[in-house]
Amino acid sequence: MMPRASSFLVRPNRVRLSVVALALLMPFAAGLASGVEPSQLAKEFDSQIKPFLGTYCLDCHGSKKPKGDLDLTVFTSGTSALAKIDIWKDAAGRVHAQDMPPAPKPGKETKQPSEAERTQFIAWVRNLKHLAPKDPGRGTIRRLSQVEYANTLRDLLGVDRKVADQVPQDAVGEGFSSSISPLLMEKYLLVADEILDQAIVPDRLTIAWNGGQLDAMIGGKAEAGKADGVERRITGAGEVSTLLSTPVDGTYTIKVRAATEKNGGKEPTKLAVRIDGQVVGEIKVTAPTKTPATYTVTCKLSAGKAKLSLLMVNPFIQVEAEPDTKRPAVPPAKPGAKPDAAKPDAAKPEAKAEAGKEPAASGPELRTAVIELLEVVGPPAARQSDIQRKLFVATPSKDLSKRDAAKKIAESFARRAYRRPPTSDEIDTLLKVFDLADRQDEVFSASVKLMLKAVLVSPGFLYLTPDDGSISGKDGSIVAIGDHQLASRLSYLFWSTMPDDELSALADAKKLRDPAVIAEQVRRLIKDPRSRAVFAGFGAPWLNLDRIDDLSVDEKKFPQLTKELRAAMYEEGAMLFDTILRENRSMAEFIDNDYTFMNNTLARIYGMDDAVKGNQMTRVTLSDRNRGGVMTMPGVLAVTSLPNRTSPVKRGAWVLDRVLGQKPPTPPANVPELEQQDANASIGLNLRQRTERHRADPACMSCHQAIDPIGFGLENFDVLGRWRDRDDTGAPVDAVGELPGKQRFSTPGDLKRLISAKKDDFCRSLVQRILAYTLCRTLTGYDEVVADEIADAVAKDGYQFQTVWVKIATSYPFLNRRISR
Amino acid sequence: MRKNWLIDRRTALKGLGVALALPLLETMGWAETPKAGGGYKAPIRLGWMYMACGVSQKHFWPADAKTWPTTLSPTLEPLRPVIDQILLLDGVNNVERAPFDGAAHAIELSTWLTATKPNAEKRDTVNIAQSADQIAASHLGLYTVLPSLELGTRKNEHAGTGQEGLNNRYYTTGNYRTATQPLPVEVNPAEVYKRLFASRQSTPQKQGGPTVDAKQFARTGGDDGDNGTSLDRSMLDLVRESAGNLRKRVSADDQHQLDDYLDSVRSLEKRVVMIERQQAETAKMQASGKGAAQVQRSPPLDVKIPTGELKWSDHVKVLGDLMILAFQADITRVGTLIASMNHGMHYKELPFSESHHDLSHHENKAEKLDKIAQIDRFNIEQFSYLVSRMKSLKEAGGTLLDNTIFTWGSGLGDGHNHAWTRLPTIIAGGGGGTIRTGRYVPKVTGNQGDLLTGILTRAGVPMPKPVGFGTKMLAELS
Repeated sequence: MMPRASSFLVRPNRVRLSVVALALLMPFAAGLASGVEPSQLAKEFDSQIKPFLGTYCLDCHGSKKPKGDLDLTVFTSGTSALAKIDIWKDAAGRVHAQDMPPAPKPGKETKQPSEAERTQFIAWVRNLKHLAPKDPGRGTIRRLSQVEYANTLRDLLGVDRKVADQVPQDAVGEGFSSSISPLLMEKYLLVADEILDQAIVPDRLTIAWNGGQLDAMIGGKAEAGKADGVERRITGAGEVSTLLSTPVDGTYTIKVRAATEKNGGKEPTKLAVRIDGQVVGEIKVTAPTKTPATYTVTCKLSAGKAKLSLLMVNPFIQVEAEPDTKRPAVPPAKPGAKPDAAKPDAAKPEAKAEAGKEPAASGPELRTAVIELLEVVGPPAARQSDIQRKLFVATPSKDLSKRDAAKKIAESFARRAYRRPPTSDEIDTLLKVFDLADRQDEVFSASVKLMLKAVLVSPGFLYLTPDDGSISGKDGSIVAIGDHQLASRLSYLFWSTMPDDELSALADAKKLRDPAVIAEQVRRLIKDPRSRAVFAGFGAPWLNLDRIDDLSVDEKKFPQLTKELRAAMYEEGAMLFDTILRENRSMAEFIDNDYTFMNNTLARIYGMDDAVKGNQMTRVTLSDRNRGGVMTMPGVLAVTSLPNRTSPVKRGAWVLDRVLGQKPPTPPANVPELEQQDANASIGLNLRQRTERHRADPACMSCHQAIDPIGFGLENFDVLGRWRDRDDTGAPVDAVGELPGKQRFSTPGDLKRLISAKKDDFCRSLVQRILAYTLCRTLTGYDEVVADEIADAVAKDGYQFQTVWVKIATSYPFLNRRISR
Repeated sequence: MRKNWLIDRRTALKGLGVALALPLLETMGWAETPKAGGGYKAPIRLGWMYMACGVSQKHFWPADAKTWPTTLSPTLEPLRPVIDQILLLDGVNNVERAPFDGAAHAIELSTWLTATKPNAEKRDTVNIAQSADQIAASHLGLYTVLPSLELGTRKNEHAGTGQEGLNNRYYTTGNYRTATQPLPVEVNPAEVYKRLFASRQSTPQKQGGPTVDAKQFARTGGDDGDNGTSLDRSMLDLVRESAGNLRKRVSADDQHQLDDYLDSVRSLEKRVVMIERQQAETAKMQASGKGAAQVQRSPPLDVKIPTGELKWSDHVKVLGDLMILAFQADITRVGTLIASMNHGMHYKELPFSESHHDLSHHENKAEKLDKIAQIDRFNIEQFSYLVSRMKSLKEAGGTLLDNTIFTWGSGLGDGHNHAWTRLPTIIAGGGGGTIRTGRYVPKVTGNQGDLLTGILTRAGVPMPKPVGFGTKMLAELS
């Protein structure tokens, strides 16, 4: 795959810009009047461009069988021409690359414009961007990327960001697909579950039901409990029950306040305490109805939901006690529900038949048990985690109902998780979720947990949304983004995570909009070590170092490319980026400088392993002028190689694209790649000679004359970026070359210095790239004007890298959005 | 509450025996088509397996249709054990590429299942068409826990735009749930396993009790929770409702974003419902002692989840096995396995180190063609392994393979000139008697869209219009 990125000067891949043409462009980059009038451009079309077209273009692009279906005669006036800006951008690229008009061929003479004429044409096209209306772009919400999601969970809940590893990887930036697929949604729920399970310790269960609140099955008749029920009377065969949620494994105390009537016979009235039908204890009720007593059973239960019931064991008053031996065997208790060993006879009682199925007896006298209260107390709660203490800003008490406490927790958590004040609708929803669990008699912490889970799968958390999610204004109107959204934009841009307290407070106080405050905040955010996120999000994809981890190379040939070396290669880029950003150095240092970072593993690639020991990456001053800067970094040289050899074409194209901002066009589909034309003719030629043969093909020449010399200038570095004097065939490396404009070089160091001279190109292209990353979209229309203005300002400011970020964070499209309905 | 409806981390990967001891095959999907006189008709499953960069055409196609299958081509030789289950189709062309000629490798994968070119006006975003597998999933997925499964040996590409200004997701995404929703592939076998065999435990909601009013109690009949809804499901329902309100207030562009979100939440809720239903049905079957005996079938496919670094072929095999297992257990009926993407990979298990892409521009040199053919054959070996696995699984009087349409192919014919003609196309499986296998068709009368339309129609997917640029069903399938 060819390197990716886009240049919006002209539509990507349609343009063939040579380096010389680029150099020509520069004089027009700065100082354009931004108030260019359409009428002026239309007039210029009539006076300058139309004659140019007539002389150089209409022979082929006329109304009769126009080449490439492009008929330029339809543009009879400036007005009609200005309606089709894309065509002119395309044309400018081709004129620029001297691709059009085509070079004269034997038998076909074509007129060639002078440099001045080309320049005039291109300048006119470049001015067209000022016709774009001042537009900040669509104000879309977007979801968090995997990295942002992981970081936000870390900062919100204090959990390890690894918890999000199961979420599919992605990265923000131009072309980011913000769609949430079902798989992603599922992972979000899974992650929320895992985090909250770990973070929230269930509190001690203490729950009580009045007898009348219990469901009953008495004499074969079912009756549901009533919320205002008071007591239950079981007369004869019968059972009362409720669903019990046990938050943890442990010992539970079940207390029953009960009394009995007609406690005749030799036996007391016995109630079996059952969990899901298994007997866990028995109580013998002897208290008369006037003075009910409390009876206690303790048992071990596992966490979960189960039916807790009290079953009348001996519904009939019998004169003779039933012998124990006739009782049916107690079914084996399910794991976790064991009778307490402290009560040896607790497991024995068992009713002969299922309660309710037994026909109402008419003979023997029936017993009656009166159940006033059933109470369950669980084991003491484990110590709360720090996370939980932070989340639970309120606990229910005499003065604070459960629901009010839950509301306080919801408001506090949603404010942070949504990175803005939640709407009342959102809080209502969360409380409804709380109610869901609370109605199930979950302990308070468990109900809160379900509510917090709802927060973590809500759009307010998963998306960066406008302040209150609402729009005001007509379709097409432009509004400032909200203060909290601005705080989020800043923190996600520099830290890939949620705003910290300072940013949030500024947003709350509505003080963040002031450009001076933004500038101050940008510098503060950059100063913080969390700004490493800028490299991970922007720097690594820019340099393609995000690919170093799964770069596929011939392991037999390059066993040195271990995990450690890959990590060091990535780190070298990260530390250089970080240094230039945080020390506010000149962007030109990306192209050429005299320092870098390495540990012993990487030092072996540099041939400096005598000087640099240990695993720690340290700053190293470079005396070798062939080193320093991104173009000669081992990681970059490796990702621009093939698995088994270097690729001068890939390296050259990388430099053009990533450093000079010129996206080399893709080779046309049917043009054979290297070595493909005439296999026999290539025999005996080395890589350079074969490549040069290839370049002799007119179809290839216009691009490769710009790409190849740069790539060959880097041939002194092998696949891993080690210096070499001889290539794979053993022949001496020939790194001599010439950039368009007769700029000769003979070493990588020379080449770097020639490229350094084009730092305006570099600056502009990097600004464009950063702006597209920031806005998460391909730049269009007015964005070009913004990028140009920023690039100019940065150049005036000595190319300080922080200036780029400050200017972007205070730019029109960063601070505004267009409403669409 | 504490038990997730999805698999519990602590109990994950404890072993398939437990997870699949349930007679779940007959409890869910199969039940929708009981045959007269008892028993079940097996549903049709659709599988796809992809290889990037096209093939060496001269090594791929058999020399002579008359002597086929006695003489197979070198590349197809690994298919010999299952050749009677194979339908080989030559002459399937994909949609023409212009204006994306310079981005052949983004187009090859993204058009394979869509037979549609990306929207040129919105090329920097994902904007193409619902892919055939997802059209199928929207219908066949109604009956299963997962509507579809997307697997791959490499994760999808990050953001950014590439050649011809196309969004980079096109390079690594073959499945599109909607025109604008690229589906990620799952790469990690352990994660896939976890997802497939999500715990079937859900939390019943309480019936009756102190705070439940009598009306609600009456409505649910007071039975013990089988019909209850899990708290997660009710929670998602509330969240979705609230997001629906948010949707009304936001900008038109943002509404599209939230539509995807709402749809995904709905899909998750549906999944919870499916799991609950399955759980309830299973319990009933277990209680009645019926079910498993009614359909003769093999025990669940034994899949071992490897750990650590995986060889490519092992990675493909285990992902393929998981897909087959998901088919067998009727967890899904639609699966795609992207076995390779064009990203500079080379096959470390083969005795040469040039990247696949590099070699695919073979210049008609014998040496390079030979290496490409080795890569092709290596891919076919994995495919053949998976086909054999399907064939080994008995169900409903036949095999899983009999009820599957499993397509292997590439989005390019020949990588050398990025040809979109003569896509290598192999179909395995009988599709429930709708595919006539054991044949080699040297000249088909339809394109990739017709092929996909034909496959979907045979799986019983209602097709109001053909897939992509297709115009009809490909006749040569049966």
